[in-house]
Amino acid sequence: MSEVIGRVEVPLDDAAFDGLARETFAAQFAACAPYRAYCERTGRTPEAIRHWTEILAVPQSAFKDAELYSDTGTPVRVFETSGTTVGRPGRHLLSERALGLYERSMLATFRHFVLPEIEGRSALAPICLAPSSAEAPRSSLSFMIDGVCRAFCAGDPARAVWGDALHVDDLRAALARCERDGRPALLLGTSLAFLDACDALGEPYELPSGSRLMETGGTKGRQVAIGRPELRAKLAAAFGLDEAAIVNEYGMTEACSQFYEQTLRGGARELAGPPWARALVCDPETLEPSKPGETGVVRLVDLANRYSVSFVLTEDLAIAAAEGPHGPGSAPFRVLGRASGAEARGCSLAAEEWARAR
Amino acid sequence: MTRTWWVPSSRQATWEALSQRSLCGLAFPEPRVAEMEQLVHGLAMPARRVEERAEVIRRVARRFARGEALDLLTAITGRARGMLEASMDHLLGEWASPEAAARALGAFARGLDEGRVAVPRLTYHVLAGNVPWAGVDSLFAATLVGSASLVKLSSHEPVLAGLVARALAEEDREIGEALAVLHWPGGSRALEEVALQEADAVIAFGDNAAVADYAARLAHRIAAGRTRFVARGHRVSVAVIGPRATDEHAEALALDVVSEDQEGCLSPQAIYLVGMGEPERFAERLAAALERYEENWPRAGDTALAASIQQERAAAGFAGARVIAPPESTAWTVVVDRTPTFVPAPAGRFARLRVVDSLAQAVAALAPARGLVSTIGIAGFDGAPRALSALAPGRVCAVGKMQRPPAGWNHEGASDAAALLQWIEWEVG
Repeated sequence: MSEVIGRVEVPLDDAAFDGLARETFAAQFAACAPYRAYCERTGRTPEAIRHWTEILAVPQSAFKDAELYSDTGTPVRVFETSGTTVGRPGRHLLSERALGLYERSMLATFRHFVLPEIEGRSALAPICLAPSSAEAPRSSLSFMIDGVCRAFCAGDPARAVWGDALHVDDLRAALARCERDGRPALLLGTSLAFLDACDALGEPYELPSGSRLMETGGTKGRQVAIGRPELRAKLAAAFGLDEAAIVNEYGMTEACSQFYEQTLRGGARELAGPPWARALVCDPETLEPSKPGETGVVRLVDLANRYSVSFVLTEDLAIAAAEGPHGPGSAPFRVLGRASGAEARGCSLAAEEWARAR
Repeated sequence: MTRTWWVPSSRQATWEALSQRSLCGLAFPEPRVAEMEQLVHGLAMPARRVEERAEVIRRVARRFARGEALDLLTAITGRARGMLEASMDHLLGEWASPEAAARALGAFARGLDEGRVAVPRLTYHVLAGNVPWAGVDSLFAATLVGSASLVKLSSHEPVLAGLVARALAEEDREIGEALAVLHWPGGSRALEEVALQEADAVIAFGDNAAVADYAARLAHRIAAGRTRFVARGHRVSVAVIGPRATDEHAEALALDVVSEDQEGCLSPQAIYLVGMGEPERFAERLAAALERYEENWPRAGDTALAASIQQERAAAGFAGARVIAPPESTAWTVVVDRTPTFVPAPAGRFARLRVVDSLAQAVAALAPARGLVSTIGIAGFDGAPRALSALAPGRVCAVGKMQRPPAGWNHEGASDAAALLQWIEWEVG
């Protein structure tokens, strides 16, 4: 199974994916007691499964309540969801080899979608709008951004977010350096940090051609107050980028794989992922796969989560425009936002308010 | 087209001439600060005795054109017409009763006519989305005490308070001159500032952050005693069911869970089953009743609600709780959980039963919510389980009545009417 992770160019047809997914499920069922208990209580054991789409997904919130760990030995790294979510954070526990899969998955996918034309190490100057992994060791995003910078860029990244704040002078200096040297920039960070930066920068920049930007978030806990097209237009104007050079990443602390908009590959805005991860958009009433064009909730299957749990039911709403070319869950999709329990409904106290009121 | 905004008849022509903005298929005038100022300065309640105003309210409650209001509410909220109708019938029936005014005013009733009570000249009501009835209670209450009212409708339900204001005006033209019901987009702070500076009382419904924002904007006026501020932030309600509960109690509780699709302050967010011999049986009876309601009063909802219900169901199942639910729908859910910890339910008719051994255990589990508890529905106890008073609820009622409070009910310590009033100590004369 682990040999497919990293081979972004080689599609997996549904039979191949089914084999790998069921093999992964059987291993996780055997290794992870809380997951096994859940499957047994609901009668969804490996023998009862005829196709991977029937495998029981754990709710994303289960990462808060239980140790979803499917490896021997102790975890070497723990990623936690950020403090904006209610109550305890979700925890993704990773063993040594799990961390290896994580790196392999994230680097191959990032290169494919964000650096498609670049061989080997790039000349891009990295500018990070997220804290370093040293500062935020429990952030999977910081781990990913640091890993990307190390793998694909020369020199240390410029950092504009540290100590829990955006440092706009540091950002200005890094952008000015790129302009002066004619060196294209690789901007990486959270949607919210970029939004703050747009408001704080004032004068627009003209980054050299080849510059690009990856923003993420808006679906994790807090929502970006503005729509994606509007955010993109703002970013394009602030940094002097083509909109095609701006891609959104969809990922979560609980998953080792990520999905990206495909515009840097000359493709669509819809999110696509590597062959070993599928986002199955499901009818929120029945949890059966939705028809193309219908809004549903994302059920994630991430084979790179081999040593935790690969089958996760999120609260993220999405639409896939078409049937998947390689079977269910392989179609590009658009995320509409999060059906967060944090959202107030009526005048009863919402969970997030409850957390704050305590 | 139905009009749900209202300004005094003397101003109607001016306001009709303003440009109009559409919301939920309804048109609303777009005032500038100048029109707002003119409007709020002109609102004045005629001098009347309490009983005269109470009689106007009773007549409005009896004669209100329910059909038109229900058509609009059904279309805009998506909720089942029958469910809305039952709630509206209750609300208006309560206000039509001879006891309503007395309950709402208590000892203030006599004091008002004797000139011993200070009444706000103008009350500004900020209404919140999904439960239309609260705005009617508050508009009737302000009218009853003799305050003029400026009401800002919610974008989610810009209907009912406007129709009620129109009905009051039709019943009594002079009272109509004291009312304005409008909508303007959030963030129009200059417009709202006019209302905030002019009103002697502000009743703010909304999430706690929105209510806190109003309190902050009014901080100086509140501190100086210029504004009476009535905070109606989000609250939780719960049901606590004792060992003698019957099947009928389960069915009554279903109405509390179903009403307003569980989006009201008075909807039970958690249900504690205390020392019950057969909690599973109670759960099954509740589930059966929820299913019956769904046939007649189907729940409204969107994909976001369904997604959060699925997440909650899965989380409950993962944690080992029993989940009873229809197989192909999120229309209702019953969870039987053996852990006492209180967490709010996601709404959408999600009944989380928490099985505990003793009343003390339920009270301890709910202790962190003290101050936030609006209503406690009870059943199945011998005598009144007064230990619940430790949670400082505004109201304790029988199950089945949680969403059916009497007019002028004690809304977290004081009725809407009493919250607006202030005794004047006449030590002489």
